[in-house]
Amino acid sequence: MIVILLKKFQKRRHQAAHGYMLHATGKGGLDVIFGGQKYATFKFKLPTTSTTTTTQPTMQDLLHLIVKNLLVDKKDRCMFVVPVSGIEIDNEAQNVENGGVKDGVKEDGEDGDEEEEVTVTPGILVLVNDTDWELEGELEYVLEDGDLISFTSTLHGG
Amino acid sequence: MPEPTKKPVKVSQLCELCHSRKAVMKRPKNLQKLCKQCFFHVFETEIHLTIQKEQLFYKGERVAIGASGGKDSTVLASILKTLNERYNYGLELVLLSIDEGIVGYRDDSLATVKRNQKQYEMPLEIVSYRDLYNWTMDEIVACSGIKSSCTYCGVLRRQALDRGALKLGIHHVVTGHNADDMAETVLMNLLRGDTARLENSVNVTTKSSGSPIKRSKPFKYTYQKEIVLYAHYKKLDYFSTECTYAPEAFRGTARVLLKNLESIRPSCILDIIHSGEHFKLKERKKRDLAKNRKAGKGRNTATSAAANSNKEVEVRPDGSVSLHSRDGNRCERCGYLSMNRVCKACILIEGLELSRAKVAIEGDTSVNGAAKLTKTLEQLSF
Repeated sequence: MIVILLKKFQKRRHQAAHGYMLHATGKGGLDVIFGGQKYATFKFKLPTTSTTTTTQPTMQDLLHLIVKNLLVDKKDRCMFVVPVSGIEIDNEAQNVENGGVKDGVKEDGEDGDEEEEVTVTPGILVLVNDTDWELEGELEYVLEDGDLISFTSTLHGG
Repeated sequence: MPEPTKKPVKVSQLCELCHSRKAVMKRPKNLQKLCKQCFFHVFETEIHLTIQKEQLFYKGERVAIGASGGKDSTVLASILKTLNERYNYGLELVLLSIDEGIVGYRDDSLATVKRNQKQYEMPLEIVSYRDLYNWTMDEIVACSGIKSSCTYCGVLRRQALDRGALKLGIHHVVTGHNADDMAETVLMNLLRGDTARLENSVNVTTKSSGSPIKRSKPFKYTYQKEIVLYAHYKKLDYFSTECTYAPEAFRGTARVLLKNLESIRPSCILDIIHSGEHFKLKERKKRDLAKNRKAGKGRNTATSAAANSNKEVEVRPDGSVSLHSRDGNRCERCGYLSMNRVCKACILIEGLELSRAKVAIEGDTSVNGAAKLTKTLEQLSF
């Protein structure tokens, strides 16, 4: 189980440049996902996709960010990335270095321009403030300060 | 965990049962939106109804809960304790764990079970592969490779659960198999064409006649998602790591397929179980069954098998031969209930012992028939 707490932060020098602080916690089995770290804090400016009308970052942006920056082991990508056309994407080709804040999000899942969609594999339970994300608009959910988002696998461990 | 922030609730976000609290989850079964309290109530009541409808328990029964420390068995232990007190089942619950001997997986999950034991105030019995078979899963994998690990583990665990229960003098084991697991099994049996198993795989209670142990699955109609949510909302202490050894490839693929289906049509899990329940196989042609029955009446199955050997017998794909006195037949070596002369566990262990002899150079006295010896000793009584 991964728990992510979002906290807004503001850089004092540049008032405009604000983003979110991600406090990520791994519990149970999924702690290995960030390379064995149980607790990690990341500071990111959440970019927004071009299709969303709001300027507020959405769940989709958060997932893009997790896939691009937080996942240490590239094979964990299959937890979040679902190939749309059924063609496996070579992960090496779009390998992004860790910690890159400047990288804008190039993929656009909803339009299907790319061959893969960034979402959560069926079988992973997503809770936004303890509420099933199905009730919160899934990928369109607009993130807010203090949101607590958790990813729990229902797939293993009987 | 920090408390989530409160937001104003829209009417459409309210629970569909109580209409007063914010819905937190959507039931996969009927897409109903429920709040935490209503979810607990519905979840617990449904399991109670399953237990009642299937008449799983009788008053004063001693029941062993197959506990792995995972979410299913932890929720099972918690809910049986709750229901036992609420509806006065009069059950005596015992936790029964199997220690396969997998370092970094089972030792951690057993620590969870030990914590559960204290939380739920139930006695705990741990049966280990090491004690029963003189092998740990780690050794088995080192010997036979990672590919067949699930085959060994599955066969051995089935026996181990029965033996553990018998040791406690308990004749009923409940396991945390949920609707997803059941659907998966139906699907797998269907894909393999294993019609013999297909018919019985969905039964709530399985009991082969002659076996003293009854097994049942109170979570047969319970979605995995709801179990996880229940564990999460009730803040139950569970362990959720994948086994260190490769998961069974075929089951894994079936699971992914099922999960994908579920995301499109959530009710399909219950639908598959429903289909499984209603499969009725056409009766197979029986060959000389009456004759064999007569010959097989004798207690010593070995001699009756010898007597039958000149008659036509069914040879299964794996080379094993069916003895017609199917039920209540015992393994020649360990005395465990078996369809064949020698039970599957003994065959597997024997195969392993051969390769261990190659690996171990020191004069290991336990090599020859260690499993048989421990099992014989276990059966001795005064």
